[in-house]
Amino acid sequence: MSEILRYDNISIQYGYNTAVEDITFSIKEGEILGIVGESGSGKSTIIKAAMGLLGPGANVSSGDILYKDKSLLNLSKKEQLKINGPLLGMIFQFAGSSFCPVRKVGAQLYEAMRAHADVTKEEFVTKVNELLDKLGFTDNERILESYPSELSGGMQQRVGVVAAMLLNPKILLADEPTSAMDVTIQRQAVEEMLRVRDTFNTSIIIVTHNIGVVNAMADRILVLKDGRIVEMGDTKQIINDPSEEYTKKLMAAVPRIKK
Amino acid sequence: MEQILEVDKLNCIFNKGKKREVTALKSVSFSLGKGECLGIIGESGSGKSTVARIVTRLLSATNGSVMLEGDDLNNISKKELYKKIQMVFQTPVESFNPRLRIGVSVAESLKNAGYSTSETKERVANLLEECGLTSDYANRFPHELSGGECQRAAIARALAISPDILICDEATSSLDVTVQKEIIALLDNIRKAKGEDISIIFISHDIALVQAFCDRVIVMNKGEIVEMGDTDEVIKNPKDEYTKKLIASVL
Ligand SMILES: Nc1ncnc2c1ncn2[C@@H]1O[C@H](COP(=O)(O)OP(=O)(O)OP(=O)(O)O)[C@@H](O)[C@H]1O
Ligand SMILES: Nc1ncnc2c1ncn2[C@@H]1O[C@H](COP(=O)(O)OP(=O)(O)OP(=O)(O)O)[C@@H](O)[C@H]1O
Ligand SMILES: [Mg+2]
Ligand SMILES: [Mg+2]
Repeated sequence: MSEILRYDNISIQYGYNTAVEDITFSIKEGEILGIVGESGSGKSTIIKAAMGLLGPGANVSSGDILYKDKSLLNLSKKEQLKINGPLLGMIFQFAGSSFCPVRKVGAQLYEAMRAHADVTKEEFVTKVNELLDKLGFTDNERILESYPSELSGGMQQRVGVVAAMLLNPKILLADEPTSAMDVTIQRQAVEEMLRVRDTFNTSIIIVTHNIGVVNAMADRILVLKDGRIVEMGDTKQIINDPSEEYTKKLMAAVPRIKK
Repeated sequence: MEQILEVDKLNCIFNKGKKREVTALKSVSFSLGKGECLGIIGESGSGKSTVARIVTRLLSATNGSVMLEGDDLNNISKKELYKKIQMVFQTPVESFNPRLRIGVSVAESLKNAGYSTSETKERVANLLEECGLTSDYANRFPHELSGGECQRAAIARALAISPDILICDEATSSLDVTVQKEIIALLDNIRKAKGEDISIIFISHDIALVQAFCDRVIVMNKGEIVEMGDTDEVIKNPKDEYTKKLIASVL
């Protein structure tokens, strides 16, 4: 397994505030890395940085993000368009706001796919239906005919997962991809992401507050607090035998069903 | 127990007659007792947020009625209603006006309730701190917050005027488990302090959290209530097939 994405000493500020500092990690082809940690600790910032989506208020003050040997920082708009989608797929923390509010879901998905791949309408329809089925939809036609605001929170999120997966990216950056799903559909989404990894050797970075989800998916876990890496290691070790105080506190706070 | 809210046979159909017509609610009835915490769990798309939006009059039901302390909801002005009911929305970022600073949004209900400027400022600062933020977040714009920070600001906004009914629609879904624990402790403290004077509807996909926090639970599937009862009872001995499947799916 060779390395596909590397964060080298990354520090990022918003104005005078440092959001993340000295972030170094890498991920291999076909590997799944979970990122967990405190709300506001910089998880979304870290994954947006690779996509060039930080916005004008942010500044990467040191370090580099490398896809194989190519820096992903300071790319031209044109280069970014070629990379975002087919190489790096993103599932946004709030899927609803990543869609255009006045255009139907189906048209938006078709357009996004066509911008990167030479597909006919029929090929699109087959692929999108396959994915919608996998994510537990039973009324695909209505979903594609709807405007984003006509879908429930969890439905929007599932459409966001579909949008990222349509292009079959080499690396999937998933920011809280299951937070609005009921547990039955969450399980299906987790299975689908694992299937994609097993079939296409996709690398996945999954940010989640759900320890059950990282446990089911990740090979390794990175724990973040106050913009710094607290601890990084094999999933089993981090969950069952964490070394840092913060990780222990985090694992102890996980609510569990009493049967 | 005295009821504060009575929801009777709500039906809700969207886009009637169009190709994308959908029945979001089918004869949904339940009541909320004074001082009670009622959980709603269920399938994505089963109508949970629709119920919340009807109860807060952001949406009209196709038919059915909602009574607040014996009065038909339609006969209460929205201004009066929002002094009694507050909601934490499922998508926190979209629920804030992007052009207003967080502090202004959190303070809105206070201004309507007649707080002075200095009282308002102090209350906003306290609320933000109670929700695990610092008071300087009042000066930020919504897009300058992380997902979970925005959600905590939304909780602060809903608590500002001490509502009689608080509706939490996935209100902790963007929080890590330690912050979530603090927010639940905050809500628990408010319940202890206010007793019968605060009733909560708590919509969540986190079944363990619902079990720990709610007295009763409603399970929804495809627009209908499929099961309702004491939380522990429903989770330990689910009767409905869908509820069984749901509980068995927890990772
Ligand atoms: N546009 C911005 N301007 C200023 N500060 C920002 C901006 N975006 C994020 N921040 C700050 O940077 C820090 C990291 O934010 P980030 O969104 O990466 O956190 P996160 O780990 O994803 O949190 P959550 O789990 O709550 O989504 C937070 O303290 C946040 O307030
Ligand atoms: N404004 C609207 N226009 C058309 N359809 C809508 C509208 N709002 C909701 N719906 C539909 O009503 C159904 C119920 O949606 P609702 O948002 O109540 O679900 P939910 O139980 O909250 O789901 P989730 O857990 O995913 O948030 C869904 O099929 C949704 O597509
Ligand atoms: Mg985030
Ligand atoms: Mg909802």
